[in-house]
Amino acid sequence: MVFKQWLIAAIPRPSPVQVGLVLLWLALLVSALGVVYATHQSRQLVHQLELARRESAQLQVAWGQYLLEQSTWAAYQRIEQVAAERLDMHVPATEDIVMVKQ
Amino acid sequence: MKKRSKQGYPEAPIARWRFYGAGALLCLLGLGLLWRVAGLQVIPGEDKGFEFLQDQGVARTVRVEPISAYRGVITDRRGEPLAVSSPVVSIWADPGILQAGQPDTAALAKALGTSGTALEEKLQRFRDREFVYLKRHLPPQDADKVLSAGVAGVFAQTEYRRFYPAGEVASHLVGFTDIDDRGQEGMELAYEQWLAGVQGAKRVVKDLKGRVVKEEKLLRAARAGQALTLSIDLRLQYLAYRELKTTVTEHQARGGSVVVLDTLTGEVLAIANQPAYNPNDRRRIRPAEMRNRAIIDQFEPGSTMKPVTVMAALETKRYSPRTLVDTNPGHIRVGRKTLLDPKNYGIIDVTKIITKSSQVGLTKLALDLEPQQILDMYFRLGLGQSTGSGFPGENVGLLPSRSRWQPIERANFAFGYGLSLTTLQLAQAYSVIANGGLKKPVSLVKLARAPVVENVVDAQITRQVLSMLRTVVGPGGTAGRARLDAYSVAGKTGTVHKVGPQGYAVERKMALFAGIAPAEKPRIVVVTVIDEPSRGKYFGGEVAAPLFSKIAAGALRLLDVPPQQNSRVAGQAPRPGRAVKKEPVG
Repeated sequence: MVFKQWLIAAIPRPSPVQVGLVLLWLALLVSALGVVYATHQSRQLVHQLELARRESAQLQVAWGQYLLEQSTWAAYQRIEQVAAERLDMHVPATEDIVMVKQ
Repeated sequence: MKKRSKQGYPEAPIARWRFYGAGALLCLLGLGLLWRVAGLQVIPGEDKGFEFLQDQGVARTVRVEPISAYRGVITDRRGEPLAVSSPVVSIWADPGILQAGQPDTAALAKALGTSGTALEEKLQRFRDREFVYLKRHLPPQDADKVLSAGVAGVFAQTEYRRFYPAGEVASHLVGFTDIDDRGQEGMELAYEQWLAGVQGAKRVVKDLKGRVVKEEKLLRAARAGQALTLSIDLRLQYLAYRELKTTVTEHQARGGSVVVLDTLTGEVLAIANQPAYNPNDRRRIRPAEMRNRAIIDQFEPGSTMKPVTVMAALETKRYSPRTLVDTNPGHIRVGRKTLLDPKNYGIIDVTKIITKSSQVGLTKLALDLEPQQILDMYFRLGLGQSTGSGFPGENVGLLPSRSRWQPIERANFAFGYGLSLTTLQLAQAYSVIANGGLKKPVSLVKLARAPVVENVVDAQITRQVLSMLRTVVGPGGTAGRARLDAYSVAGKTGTVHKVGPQGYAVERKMALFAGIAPAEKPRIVVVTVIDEPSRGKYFGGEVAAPLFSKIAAGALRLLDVPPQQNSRVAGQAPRPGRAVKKEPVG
């Protein structure tokens, strides 16, 4: 009891100005930590953006390569050869064409 | 303390100067500290001041990163790729680090696929430099193999290489780029600004692990190359190229060209030349193969210009398709020269002059007209001017203008000598006939909107000429072999003597055919030119007309033009058909 009374007596009663200052100081601290946190977040996001951009560039490259591959497989020369030799196809003669009038 | 001093110790007075001296010293220390802080952070120009410190910081974290930009893709009108950029890796070395005589050069040379001595020599030769290419344009997987060896002083750099999936089929039109990806020929050159991508750069902050954590500034915006859609249809292009190559080989000709023009829009649907080259492997390329003959080479058009002279004659209103002309006795003397028909056609009408390609008949027409009238008609059809294609090195041909014309010059001029044009110009001139007198600029790029047309000839006259041209393909005409099974054709043959060192060379000829199909409702103009066929046959009707027939038949089918003749219509009784011919698909 004695100790508690002593303690109350020892700590001076803060004036409203002092309370305000302490609150402001705490707010400052929280805000400073917030800036740190936000910066960290932003850096991580920028890094992710960069990774995504790199991936997009790689996909672009892959697209080009697939495009080349596709056009090589689908070259008219090759299609013609496959159609004529492997599938035994030919262009129908004019007499064989039947027109469908609408 | 006070108590004690009161108890016994006398109060020693402190000298004032010591008090102030100590105070001043403390102040000075504080000022010195402030000065130092200011020097580090604020005052410019200080040795190892804030500029130095910031530089040091920046040097450790801020990097300039390139933003890559690709060269645009070139496609045909249906989106089939004709030129695509793909990354390749160039391997370079710093001869300061990788010196000749090091043990790992042998392994490196093996990985690069070159001889060890050649590599040693190169490193020796460039030993004072800091950069030397070891191998350019390696496929990425091969480059990885080289780099995985981990030889010190060997680096990689990503570059772009152009690949041409259509190969030689569209080589002349598309052109190619050099090793640094700049357009050198063809549309690659014509649309360099449009296609080229501009690499950008940005300043970024990197962390310890090399990750980008902040983008500070965009130093240069990257501009990706734009895609270019050409007017050609690769299916038609392939068909035209294949048939042209077959014909040129069959007749052992020096070369040849084909142009297929869309009469509705003026777009070029196919433009093929022989000889051609493979744009993907240009090591053994010869300059003669690189020329887009259809646009660059000019020649005298010969008989293919006869319909144009007839148009000029019809325009005077003194002639109609039925006007009779006396071609007896089958030859005519003009100046010191005699012009011959193969046989005496007697009295024939203007239509028959075209059907038989009569020299005598046309000479009579020409001598009855003012040369200026013929010249004017040639000019209105686009001769002696650019077609508007924008192709690099396009030839505008030659349309002479004289103040005085000798009779023989007038006659020659009327049947296509003494002027020159390109295959593309010839196609454009015929498209005016096909279009009812409307002239459209030729386009090598797919058009987004309808072209600006110019009415240069009366539609009535072109209709008459078109029906005259149909007789050329009919019985008794010079180009029966240009006929199509399913469509009507109008066209004109030409067999031209080439100019050699000693005037016209008898044995050097060009076979031409310019045709319009279908004749009732023209959709395409096809011009075929075979340069110096050397297997005995050389007439336009024998060499160029069959080529026209093959290309036009396939082209009209691919363009979904409904057949007009010789086809059965559903619901009607089938006519007795011929045996099924087997023809390759194309």
